Amino acid sequence: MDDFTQNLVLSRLTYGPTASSRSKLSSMGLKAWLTKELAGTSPEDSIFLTGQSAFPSSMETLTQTIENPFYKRRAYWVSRELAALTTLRRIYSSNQVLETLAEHFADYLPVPLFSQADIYRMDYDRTIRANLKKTYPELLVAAAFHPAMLTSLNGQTNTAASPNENFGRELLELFTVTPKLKYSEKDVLQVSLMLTGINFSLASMELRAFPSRHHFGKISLLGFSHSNLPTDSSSTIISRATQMIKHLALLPSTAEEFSIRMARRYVSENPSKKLLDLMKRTYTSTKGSIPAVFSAMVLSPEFLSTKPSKVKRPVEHLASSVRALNLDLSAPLKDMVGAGSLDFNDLNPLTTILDRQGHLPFDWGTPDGYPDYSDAWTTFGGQAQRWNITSKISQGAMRAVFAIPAYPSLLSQSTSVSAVIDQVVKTTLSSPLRSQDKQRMVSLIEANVVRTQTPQQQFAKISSMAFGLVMATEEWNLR
Amino acid sequence: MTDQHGCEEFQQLTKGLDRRSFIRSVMAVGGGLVIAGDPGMTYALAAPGEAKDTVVTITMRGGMDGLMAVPILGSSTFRSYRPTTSLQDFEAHRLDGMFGLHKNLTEFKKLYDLGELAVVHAVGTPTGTRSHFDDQRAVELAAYDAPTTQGGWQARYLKAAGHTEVLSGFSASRNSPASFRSAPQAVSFQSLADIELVPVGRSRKDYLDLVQSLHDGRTSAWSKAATATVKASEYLSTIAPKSTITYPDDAFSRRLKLLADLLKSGVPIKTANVEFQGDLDVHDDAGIREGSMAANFTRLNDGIAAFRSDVGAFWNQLVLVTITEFGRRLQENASAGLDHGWASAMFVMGGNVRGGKVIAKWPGIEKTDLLNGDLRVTTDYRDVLASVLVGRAGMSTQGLQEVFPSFKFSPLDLVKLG
Repeated sequence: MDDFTQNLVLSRLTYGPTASSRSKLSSMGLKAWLTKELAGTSPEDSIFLTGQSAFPSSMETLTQTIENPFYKRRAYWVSRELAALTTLRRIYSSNQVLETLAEHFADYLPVPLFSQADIYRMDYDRTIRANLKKTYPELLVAAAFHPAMLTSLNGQTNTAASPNENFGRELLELFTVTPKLKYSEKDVLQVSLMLTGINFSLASMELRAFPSRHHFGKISLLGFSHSNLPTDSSSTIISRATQMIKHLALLPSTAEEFSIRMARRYVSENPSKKLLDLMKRTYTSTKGSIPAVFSAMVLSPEFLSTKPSKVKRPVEHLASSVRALNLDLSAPLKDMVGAGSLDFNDLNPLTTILDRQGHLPFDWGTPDGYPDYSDAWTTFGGQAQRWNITSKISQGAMRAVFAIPAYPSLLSQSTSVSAVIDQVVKTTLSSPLRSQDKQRMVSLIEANVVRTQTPQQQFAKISSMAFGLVMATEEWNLR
Repeated sequence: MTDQHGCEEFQQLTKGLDRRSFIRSVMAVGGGLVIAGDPGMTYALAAPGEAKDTVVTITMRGGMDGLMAVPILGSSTFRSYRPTTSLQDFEAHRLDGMFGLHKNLTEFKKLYDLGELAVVHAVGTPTGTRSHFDDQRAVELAAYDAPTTQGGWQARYLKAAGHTEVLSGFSASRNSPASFRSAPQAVSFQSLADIELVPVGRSRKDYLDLVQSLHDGRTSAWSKAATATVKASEYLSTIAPKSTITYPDDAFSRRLKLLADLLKSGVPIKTANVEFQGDLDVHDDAGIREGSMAANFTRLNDGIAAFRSDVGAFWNQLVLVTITEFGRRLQENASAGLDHGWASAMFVMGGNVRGGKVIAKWPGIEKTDLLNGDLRVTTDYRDVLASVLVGRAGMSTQGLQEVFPSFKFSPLDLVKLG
């Protein structure tokens, strides 16, 4: 596998290539590397993820968080902790493929930050992560009955006397079959009725169905039918609703939508019918196995033959740029981690970078997740900010957040501008630069290098400018 | 005739040139302040003369309930549907013999009384789906009868009217809305602080020239937008906020203030979008008096009030139109909320609006009048937009067919013709 292919794989399946990840992929080959990544067994080696002093709610159970007087008064702090922790995970986690899957499914089954679901939000993230190696029907059921989703889409107030159809509608429209199946308003009501009375009980800290609020009577939609006779059993009601959700999650239309969304996220905005058919077949034969469909997609010929065309979303752009430069957080932040005193507030300068680009993790108000198409992310403000981010971090000019790049550890020292650019391209891009682009970069850098300086000073200048310019290209901003 | 928008440099560049020859000249020299966003553009459909007014959409994402904003007064039937989600008649501002206005829309009432605000009721999409995402996308693409149409309606308006200059389209939003899809001359950003480019190397000019050349001859969405970004950044980096008005401290008002700054600085915006920010999707505890919807209307009202004061004389060159993807169900649910519905209401505001009236082919609210419990749409939202484009933005009937293909336009008496 050549350098460009390695970078292509890593720009799609991780938050960007690093020297370490390129080496692992190269030595193991795609299939073995993928298997190991999906196992997700690599211990975290970044101190930003091992200390976790900044994120107390990430170390608590859901019950502990709910009963914690501090979070009772400030539930939104849970969301803030999660946003900061997730940003760090995306940049620094050793289990990068699973990290991208966690993002993908957080967009698929979203619960926004800074809402009435805040207190549950960290545990909802844990729930998504715990199901990534399982099937989509299992993940969907876990998400559907999580108090975060029940709160976010009004399941908590869905009763037989007056059904609230919010979750039922989104279950059909976004999470399973989509309107392409042309379900009816009656179907929406049927789904909603089957879910009536199912709440997360704060009294018992568990999911419960309350028969007095549940609709009994036959439920029938889209090939699912249940007599749904009266019962006093909470578990029976929940079991029936679970059957319905799993039925919907295994319909061919769900398999198709699941495949389309995954292929659009990881391959291109217009995946071929052949690739989608392969993924759909895999979904059906494995009853919706997430790793199986994912692997089928990655190991298909189309995965490697498809040229980069997707604009990186802001978090992908930021993480990949930081990873390519092998940047730690700034020394003061690192010291705070070491001293166990880091607070998520200290990470505001980091999360603000994403917030200003409209891509703070999970901070999307509607249940369709962040947009995953290029047009949405090629705004003027977004492009200007991205160019500025890479201009600054490559020149060590974001010192409140990131350390100064250590170029001697990234590149072989040289005072040849052309040679340094070649090295940067080889370690970052999925395709070579156009010759005229490289030549213009050489000219610009030469005009800025003071040749009377020491070789080390010249190398530092050339390296910082080469990264800054290469990261301004289309090649870097697409994946 | 050239209009008077644009900074001094822009006006100097355009002096003595009609728009088409100006566009060609800029394309020929390949530089200057303004660039051609789409060299393949057809000018045959350009509107006769220059646009008079800038059309601004206020996107109310989430499904704004028209009957909370503009309730029916004196109707026990209406109150019976909404025991907890409607106001008493005396709490609302009275508009006419039938309709009122939410109590927090005090500035809207003033505009209505001044004849600068009109309401269109029972308005919406031709085919409601009750889906936020399908309806929102459809509203912004506005190509119901012509599904192969490219781009969004504001992009097609810019093209049909011959507005090729960068920044002729502007969205105050973090993402680019679908209505501007396929409009490389349209830009989206939320803050002037976001846009000044930091150079790599000592020379800003050399860096910007290089960044631009890196994207020349490319066809990706990224590269097509890059040229406009560099040009717009150079231009906008010279702009300083001009507002002296204190706006409310919320995202919607900050976006309105940004638009005001751009307009007052001479940025040649021909159509803009401002994203409202608030919780309109009130399935639960709609809060018509003190909660969510009351806060939404306060935010909308106060933001527009500040904006109107801020833009001064520009108010007479603007038409603001609120748009939402759907209204809400007539019958409230058990959670004191309202589920997705169909028809809603639109506000049309500006110095050249023929306001002071509620335009509605009222469909009725008896159970038999409703469609699946929803207020019926009797006025297509495109009739509102088209009436504004034709009446105030110089759009020809032929050009209108480009903007809203296969749409049979029924003009509404909404704006002063000019």
